[in-house]
Amino acid sequence: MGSRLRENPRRLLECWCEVVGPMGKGKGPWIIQKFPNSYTQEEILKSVPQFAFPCTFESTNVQHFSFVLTSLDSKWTYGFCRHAPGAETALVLLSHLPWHETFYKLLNTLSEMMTAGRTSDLTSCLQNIYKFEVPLPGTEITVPYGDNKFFVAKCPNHLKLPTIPENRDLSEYYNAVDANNMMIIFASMLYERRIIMVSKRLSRLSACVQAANSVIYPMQWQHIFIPVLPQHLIDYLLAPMPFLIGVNTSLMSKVQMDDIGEAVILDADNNTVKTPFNDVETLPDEVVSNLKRNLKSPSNMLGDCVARAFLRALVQLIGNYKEALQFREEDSKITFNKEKFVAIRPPHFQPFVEKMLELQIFQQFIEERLDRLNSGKQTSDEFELEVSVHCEKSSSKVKQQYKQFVTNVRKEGGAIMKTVKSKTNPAVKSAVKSVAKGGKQVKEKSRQTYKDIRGKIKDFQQPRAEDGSMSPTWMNGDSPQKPRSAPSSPVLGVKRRPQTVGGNAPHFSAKATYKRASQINIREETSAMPGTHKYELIERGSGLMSPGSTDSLSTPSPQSIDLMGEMEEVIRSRLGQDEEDEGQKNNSTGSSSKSNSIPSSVSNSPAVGHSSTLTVQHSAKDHSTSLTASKKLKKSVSIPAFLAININAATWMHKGNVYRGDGQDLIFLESPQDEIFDPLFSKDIPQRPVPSIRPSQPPPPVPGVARSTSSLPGVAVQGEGGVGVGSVSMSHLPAHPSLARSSAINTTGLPNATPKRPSEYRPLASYQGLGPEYRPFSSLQTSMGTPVGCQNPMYNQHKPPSANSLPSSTRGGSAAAAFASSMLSGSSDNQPVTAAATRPGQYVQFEPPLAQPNKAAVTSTQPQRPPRLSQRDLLGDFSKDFQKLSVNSQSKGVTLGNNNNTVVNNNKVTDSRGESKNDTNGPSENKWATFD
Amino acid sequence: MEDYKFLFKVVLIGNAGVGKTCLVRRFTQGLFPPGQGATIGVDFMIKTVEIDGEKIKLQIWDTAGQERFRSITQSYYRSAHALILVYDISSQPTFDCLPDWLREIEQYASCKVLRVLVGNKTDREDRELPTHVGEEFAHRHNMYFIETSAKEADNVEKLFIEIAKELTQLVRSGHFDKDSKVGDLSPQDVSNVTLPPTREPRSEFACCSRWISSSTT
Repeated sequence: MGSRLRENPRRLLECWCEVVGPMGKGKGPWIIQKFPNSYTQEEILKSVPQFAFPCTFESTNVQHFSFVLTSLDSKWTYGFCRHAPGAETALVLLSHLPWHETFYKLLNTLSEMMTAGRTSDLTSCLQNIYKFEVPLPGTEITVPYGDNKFFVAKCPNHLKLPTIPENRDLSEYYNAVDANNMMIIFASMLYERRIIMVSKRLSRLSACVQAANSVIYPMQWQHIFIPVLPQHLIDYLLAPMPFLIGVNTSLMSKVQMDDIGEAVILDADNNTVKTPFNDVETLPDEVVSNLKRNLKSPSNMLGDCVARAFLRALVQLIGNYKEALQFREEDSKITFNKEKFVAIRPPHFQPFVEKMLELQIFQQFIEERLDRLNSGKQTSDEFELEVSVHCEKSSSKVKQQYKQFVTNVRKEGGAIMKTVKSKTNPAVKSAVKSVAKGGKQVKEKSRQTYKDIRGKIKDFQQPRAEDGSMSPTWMNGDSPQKPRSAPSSPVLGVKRRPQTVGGNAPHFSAKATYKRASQINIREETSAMPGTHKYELIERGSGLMSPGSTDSLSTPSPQSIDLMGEMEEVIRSRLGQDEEDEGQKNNSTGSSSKSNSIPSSVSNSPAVGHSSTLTVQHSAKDHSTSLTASKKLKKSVSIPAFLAININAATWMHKGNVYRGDGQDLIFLESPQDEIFDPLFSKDIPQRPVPSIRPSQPPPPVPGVARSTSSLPGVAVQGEGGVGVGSVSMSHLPAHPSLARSSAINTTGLPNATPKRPSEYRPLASYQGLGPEYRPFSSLQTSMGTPVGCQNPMYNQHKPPSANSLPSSTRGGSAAAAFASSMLSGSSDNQPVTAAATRPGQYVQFEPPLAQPNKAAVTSTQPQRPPRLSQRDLLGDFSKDFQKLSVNSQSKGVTLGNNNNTVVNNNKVTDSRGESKNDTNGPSENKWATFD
Repeated sequence: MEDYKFLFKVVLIGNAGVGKTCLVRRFTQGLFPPGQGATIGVDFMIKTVEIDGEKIKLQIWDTAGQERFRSITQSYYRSAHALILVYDISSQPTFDCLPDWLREIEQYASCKVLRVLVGNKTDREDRELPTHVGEEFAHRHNMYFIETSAKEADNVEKLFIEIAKELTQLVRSGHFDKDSKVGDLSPQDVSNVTLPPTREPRSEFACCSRWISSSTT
């Protein structure tokens, strides 16, 4: 409805054309050849030449840009263009899919074939692409052509927030336009202004226009949308209705500004905006200030932070639309009550919200949501997810509780400390005792239940070699800070609940290894974590703790026991399905991933799958409170829990190629050495991809490489604290809303974490490529069971990405690689994307530096964050093993390492780099520079 | 863009199927390559007419592509100089919707906008709405009124020429507060700081139903 994308496009590629540029005055551009010849959309074919050569423009290097054709039913067809300097023709691909990066890369490949005169390759490539089944967003396509050659490209997931640097459009926009101006454009779009973007470069034009539209998600621009305006349509600049149009500078000079009237004009080359309106000022203050803060934070560059900053602003503005929904008795329909929508907002929001009601973009948004609701579908997407997070945070009730809690903790915490110390207040002492006792009882109970479950699980698995100690640290009085917890605070009962399944923390690092011989006792970690966390809260006066966590804190503790019962049920019901699920997963990742290389030992074992699910569930539930809080506090002590979750998640996501959870709380790190694992190896494509002749092709997916990198994500995941990833497992258990919900909270509690952390966990580089890819995905999966709900079949059809569907960059093992890859796929002229330029945590302009060489240079604004000792400690042993893994399997991610950022085990990293270099016969930098 | 004295933006609204696009096509036939609607989603046509020896460029925007919107909000009327509200004289429902359309216009469009009611399809035998009904409606709502037949080209030329004339006059009389080449009309927009001093537009041309003239029936 509101979407401008065509639903269920039939093909990946609609048409390919070669367009001859205009010759002199009389002769306009024309199509010299097209594929398939049967493509007969006359209106479109008539327009393509004009859109491909929209005006006279300078062309000093290869330019990619996209245009958009809007059909009468308002749906968009994308045209992807490639102009090479000096070439008489331009190549154009038409598609209904907004996959800029993929098609730019394809254009480069096609152009290369044409230059080399490999006509047969060209034909076979086009034929195969044309026949290619539309892949799922976020997966990778491998299209064979010619003799054993393959075109491999990743399909961006346009259902998720665009990320920097993977998304070229947003990256370019972010690079060209500063935060203030982005906000002006954002506000102008919310007011549905007539907006013109001007640039000398077509690529920048189309990128800015597309990106500006992408950041008003979940709404979509409903009006005239012309990323690059062809000369003959210049009158559209006079349209009385809203528009978003990109205009080449040369064309702009031909228009009389008087005729245009009141329009917002962004000069993307000079980063200036002219607007007759003061739209930003009329947005609610707190929205603006939050947005500004989020956008200007230097760490908010990579990943989806920019997009998320805007999304959050929109959540603040319209996130509570659901509260204004009403059920109409007469026709049993859900309707939207505008008055209520305005009334429920705070007074200072109301003027803007009233205005919002008049917006076409908002109306389409509401209609779309209503349509879904009325047809029985529920929507779960990034927006709804962010809304649920926001609700957690901003519920006034929770806020009050939170304030009270803070005061309590401050008052009583100190008081209790005193009294306990001086032993002058036996009452308090007894209170402390009784709480401890209560905790003990709860612990006892849950332990019992837990044992029950374990007993049942044992039916499905080998008995564990070692049982975790049941004595939690806080009970032993190990923690010197224990007396500081305020007995009267509502926190304690619940805070301690997770600890009831606790054990000894030291087990964790000491025993962890990738061999099965060692185990990780998650319960130990989970018990150790909340305690520390709790004290941290008090120390900081809890000022930073999110209200959401207080909310959860104040929930009654007996829930824990219920959970066990329910968990048991869930487990039982899922047990039978696990095998099936695995099977589905194996077949589900589309044509590129019917992998037969999945180690059967992992993926086909119901017991394994089951138990790892349990673990995640367990830990996710227990830490639903503390995870969020600890995120806010940047308290790395909580990482063990993440670690536990994440490793399990990795098991799911990578189809068990690296780790797997075993037992309720055990994780065995399977050595991938014995396994033949090749993400690219699939039934659909019988031949293993071989390196193409082109030097800038991606490195051949040698099994070793693939294996090594597939081993890495797991490592990286721990560093990422990838709760989102952890929650992927949750998607296997959508049955329990409270579980899913808590996981949802966790997931969204770290929106900033993903892009920030890569710099710190350099050796875990592969996650960088993985991070932005996976986190939102898992969010989607997570929310399937939330009250928000996710019955949206659109998402349900998205299978957990298997290793096969990993981005090629992930296989490369580095976000830098991802970056380099996306850069180079964008332009065939191999600009020196050097290792230095692709250091993580830094942002590089992907276009060859032309207009603004200074800007193109590396801007290192990401602050170095202090290493997290606790994390390092906990990860230490893992990392060693992972390093070994990566070394053994020639990890390329490591070769690109920035050891300054290394938190874990610098020595090992250096070692591995050295080894890798030897293995790969050459400086890794070269590899990356030519990586496509 | 060729030379012209004034540029006027005219927006056509009305229910689907009342013949909006036909009206424009009939008027502008052959003068501007039609069919951009298929690539831009919004169609417009340009015709330059001469009024008192001066070139007037009429840009007629067809909202046919916007019928997917259940209601067209403010955005579409924002900077139009004239709004043509079209109904089908052989279809009562299209007439019944006029109040809804008017409400939107009242709410969103500039108060200065010239408003014209058009009863289209006078060629149809099965007329359901006598001329006087439309006329009364227009009178009640301070609009100009004319009946046309896009098919027979009746009154189509006249409709647009009259609009051009009227707008030219309005510009000359300073109604739009811009002396040449009328740009945007400022809508009643709180955020618009450059709103020109308000006038009482209606008083100047409260003369409704001026063109009630000859429809072919």
